[in-house]
Amino acid sequence: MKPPVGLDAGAWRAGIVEGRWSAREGVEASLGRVDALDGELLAFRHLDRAFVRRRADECDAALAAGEVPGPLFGVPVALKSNMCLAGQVTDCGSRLLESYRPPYTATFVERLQDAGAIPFGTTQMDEFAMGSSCENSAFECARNPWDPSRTPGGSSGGGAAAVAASMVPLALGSDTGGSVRQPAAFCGIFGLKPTYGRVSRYGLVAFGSSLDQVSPFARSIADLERLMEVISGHDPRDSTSLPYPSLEPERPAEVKRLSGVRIGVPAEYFDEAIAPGVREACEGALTIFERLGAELVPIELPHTPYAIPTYYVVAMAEASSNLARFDGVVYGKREPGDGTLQGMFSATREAGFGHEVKRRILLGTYVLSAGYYDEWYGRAQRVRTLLCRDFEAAFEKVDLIAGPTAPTPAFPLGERVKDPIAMYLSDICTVPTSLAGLPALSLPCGFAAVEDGPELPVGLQLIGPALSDARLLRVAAAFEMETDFHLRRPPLADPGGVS
Amino acid sequence: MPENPLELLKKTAELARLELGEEQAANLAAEIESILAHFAILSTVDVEGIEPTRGATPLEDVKRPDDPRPSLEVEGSLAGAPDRRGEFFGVPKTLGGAE
Repeated sequence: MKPPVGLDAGAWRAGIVEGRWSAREGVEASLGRVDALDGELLAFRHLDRAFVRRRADECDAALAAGEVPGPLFGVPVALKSNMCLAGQVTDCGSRLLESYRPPYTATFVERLQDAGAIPFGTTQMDEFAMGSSCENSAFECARNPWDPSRTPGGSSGGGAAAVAASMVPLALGSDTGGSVRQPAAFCGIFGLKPTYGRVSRYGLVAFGSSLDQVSPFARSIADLERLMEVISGHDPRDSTSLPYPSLEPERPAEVKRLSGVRIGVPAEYFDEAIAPGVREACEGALTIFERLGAELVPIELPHTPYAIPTYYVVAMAEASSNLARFDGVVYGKREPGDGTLQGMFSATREAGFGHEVKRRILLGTYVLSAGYYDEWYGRAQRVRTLLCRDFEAAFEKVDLIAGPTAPTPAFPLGERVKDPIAMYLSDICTVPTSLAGLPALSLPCGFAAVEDGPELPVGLQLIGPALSDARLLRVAAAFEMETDFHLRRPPLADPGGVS
Repeated sequence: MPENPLELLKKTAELARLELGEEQAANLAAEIESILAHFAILSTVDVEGIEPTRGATPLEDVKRPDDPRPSLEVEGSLAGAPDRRGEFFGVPKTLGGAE
């Protein structure tokens, strides 16, 4: 038996089905990786070892009984700490929900389990997904496996670190303004934000409801496809769920070459805010796409400079409304305050929420309040329309758009934590697509040198029109077949180095 | 934030049901003033005649069939309650307290 650590989900499952290792041995291998690495990387928030072992044993028993194995049979999949699995802690990185165990399971987690996957713990995140570095967690801050003095990105940083360090083959994050794409770029793996509405949000703790989307991390495109096939598709329990069946991958043979594919290159995504090493890696990637037969077309997305304030006004407004439910009555922490009902609400929220969450709730409440609504929230909704129109105009000329996923590689922990504007600006490449609800994928496209540290991974973002998720994955697969950036593993976490 | 950011911050905190200490309120007022100054670039965009985008899907008025179905059981609903009283959520007195 060779433990499957380091293999992708397809090979992991095949090994179980073909009897080369058991689901239990696979889970033990993952737990061993967590023991070896997570003391330093802090990727996991909660990991119920008895639960994952029991699930693995159930898989082995089912296989022995002749049950047909599902597409993720025996594969460990890490969840983010804002995803509900009945009876397991879902703390959202917040003191307020520190011991909260939901009484129900998210639709996408049910679908994972139906496909034979083993929900493998919850990963670290910025509190209520509000952050770009994991530093806003009320608990530990996850580290980047390429350089533990740096962030793995955020808010789904723990999931990206866990996949990059081969603790698990797959993880789910949630992407509101880039919270899966940016950590994928920082950790050298693939991350897909699906078209808004493609994956049910039922059981995902809400942050910005018109933006949030459950989004997978993987080390191969085939794995992203496999995971998307399982979790996507209509769910009547989410009224924003699109009425389509699950994602059907395009056949690989159809798109080995990219002849006829027009890739738009927006000048606004390659401006002076982009670090030289990131620009170089992304420009190199574009020449590879050209070599594969794609045509590069210069385009304009003229409202891009307004995307950050538009996104934050919309997201904070939605957050202030969504987080009103955390008042110490139905679940979570309670502080008595002055003994009145209002006093209890206010004291509970003061004690339970961290600084960034309070800042966003206050900003959101302000932009929604009488007298300021039209000036801020109403205006941001109109600028959102203009940003959507930019993409509509671009997609009349091109099939896809490419640019950096993030303006810099992973930054050092502590660098931006005192400067909210600098932190918000790290989302400049990812928020426009979130506002427009478009699918976007980050793929490893090279490495950038940084001062006083090892080379760090760089991500290229591919953006497509709504519902072009399968096409995005195929184009990314052509790039994956042509390059080996995705095969490089962080030295700390090379599966050859830790057994 | 316009004139007297601290007063406005305190009013907003009350609306948001956040009890802030004086120092915390002062810090947040300054931070929020600076963030809004950066966001003020939005006021330079001509949005005359532009419809607002409220969501990222074309779906409207989504309904499901009005069929009875099981809902969360009482035990599950109450399992996370900080103050459970029998089959109810306990809260402080709601009448006679502060508005």
